[in-house]
Amino acid sequence: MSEKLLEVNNLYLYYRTYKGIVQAVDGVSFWVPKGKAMGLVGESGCGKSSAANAIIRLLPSNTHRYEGSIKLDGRELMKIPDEEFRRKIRWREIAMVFQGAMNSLNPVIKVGFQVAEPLIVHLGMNKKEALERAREMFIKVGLSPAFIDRYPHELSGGMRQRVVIAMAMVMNPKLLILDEPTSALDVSIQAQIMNLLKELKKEYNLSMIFITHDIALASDISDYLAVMYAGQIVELGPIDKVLVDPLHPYSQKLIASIPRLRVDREPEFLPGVPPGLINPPKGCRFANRCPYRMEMCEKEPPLFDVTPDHHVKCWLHGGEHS
Amino acid sequence: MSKVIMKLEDIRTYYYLRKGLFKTLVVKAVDGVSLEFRAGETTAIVGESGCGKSTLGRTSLKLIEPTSGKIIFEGKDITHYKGDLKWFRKKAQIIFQDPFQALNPYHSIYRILSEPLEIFGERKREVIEEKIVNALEEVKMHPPEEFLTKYPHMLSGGQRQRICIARALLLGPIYLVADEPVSMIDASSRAEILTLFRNIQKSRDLAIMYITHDIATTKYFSDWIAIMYAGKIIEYGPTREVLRNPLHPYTKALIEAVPDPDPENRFKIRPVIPGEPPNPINPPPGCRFHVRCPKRFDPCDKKEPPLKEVKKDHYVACFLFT
Repeated sequence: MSEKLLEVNNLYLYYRTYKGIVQAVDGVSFWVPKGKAMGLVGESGCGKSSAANAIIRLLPSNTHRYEGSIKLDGRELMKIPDEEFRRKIRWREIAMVFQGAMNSLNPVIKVGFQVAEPLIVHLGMNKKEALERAREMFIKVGLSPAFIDRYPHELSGGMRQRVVIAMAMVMNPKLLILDEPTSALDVSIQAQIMNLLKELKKEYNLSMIFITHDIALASDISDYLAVMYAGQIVELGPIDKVLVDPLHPYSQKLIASIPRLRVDREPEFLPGVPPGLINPPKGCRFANRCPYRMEMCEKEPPLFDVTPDHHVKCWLHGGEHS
Repeated sequence: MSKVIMKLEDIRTYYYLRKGLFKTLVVKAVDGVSLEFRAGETTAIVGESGCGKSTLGRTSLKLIEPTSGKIIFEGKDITHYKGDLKWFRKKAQIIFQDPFQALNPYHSIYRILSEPLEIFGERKREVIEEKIVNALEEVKMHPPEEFLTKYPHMLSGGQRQRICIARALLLGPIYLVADEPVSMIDASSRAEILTLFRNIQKSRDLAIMYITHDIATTKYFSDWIAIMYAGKIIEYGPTREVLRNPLHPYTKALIEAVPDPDPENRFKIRPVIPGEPPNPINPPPGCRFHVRCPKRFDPCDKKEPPLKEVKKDHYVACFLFT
């Protein structure tokens, strides 16, 4: 396996709410190799966006517990104080395309300046230099450089999404986190954006975390896949293993639920709903929906190593039963 | 062939936007659509946002008045029917995209479901209760009694959508418009809701208009497919035939753009159509797709191609096939 750029170990992010403590990210461990993309998939509310926010350290004020280890290029990020993290890591080393970001561009500022702004703030460039760099970035993401003088409302959804990607790439980060980057776009535009992301990944040897609920879409760019369920990663490995021969019963069901256009296979479904994250069940969190449930499942399974890079959180693939 | 329930003849639905004092812009949301919906069959209307598919669905229910054309329901022209439409509302129902907004948060499930029955003159509590319990059973909410006193916020997205389906079914409709019924639902439950639709349709012999942007689901959950682009139907036919053998360049591109889960995807750049769907205020002359079409030739920017039957039941509006 190629060298790891990002290593996340036992990451926790809990929120305090009036109903109780929400265990959004509960002991998550994964890695992203250099130049590769990790697809982080799961259903809404499984904690995938929270995991991303934890990595780029954008925490809400009701954060209750934030701990674990996040190493970038071998350097422990959790020890870096907030102010230094803001100046040196966020956007310089790790950038993010937020969910629905194309709709949160500032409507009264020209898009070129919005892309150039981090260069002025972080690198102290003057406005002219920064705009020149923004113009280059526009070309890279497939926009006409003349668009730097436009306002967000003058651009279509697909173009605004390209602006947001340019914004994330302008500081030349090592790791790009993409949170549902195409979920607000039409399918034909989605395919254009996916092609752009593939090209950027190749050209810059960029590492990515690609967050989505759409596994088919994740397979369009990811080299590795992590399946999340109720705040935890239940399966993690190379995409040709996880997608083709999933081992965790949840991954199996989730992949079987995708309606396929080119193969004839009736989509299956998974009865029931995921548990709440305020008081998640003890033991395996998937047990109450699992067709293979056994007595052991009352104890929480660890993430077993099936092969050195394929891990499954299920008693069927580790312990006495395997 | 089974009975035609709903027939749309050359429907045009225009919206008028006032711009300033004297200028009025015409948005041609639906521009000359003819379709038939037969008992026991689902017709999928597929297209990208803004193509007019939702307007078409709402026009067929007389929720929006068409600018011209005819709506023929059970052989009766109701286009300009000015009297009480209660009889029609009973027979033609709609399920909306967002089950979070379609249910009144202050009403219990019992109240939500009893309302349509009361409007249609049912007064006996026992009868109402029995009908509601039956409807809940039909949408697989077990045990039905348990849900009567609950409120929408206590249910998951999938359960809420099932309440919406139960509400639509209570009055015994024969025609149902399902406007993106699963796009707000978690991936693992989508197939469950769509299978439910299919079973209810078979047992009740319903005619369903299934509006969606997700072409993959149509393969498993529709009999006929109509592809819409900029207010017009550009291809129509039996779903499997159209998906296996798409003729219109737009349909081909739409199918190409949808990824199937496959680890090989990440090595490929997907063929895409450039540009974005046209603005319905000022659609391009001639074929509305010609600006983006890889195969355009001489007549495409001058004349509009008619929808022609090129194979048995397979219609396409493209000069390549005339």
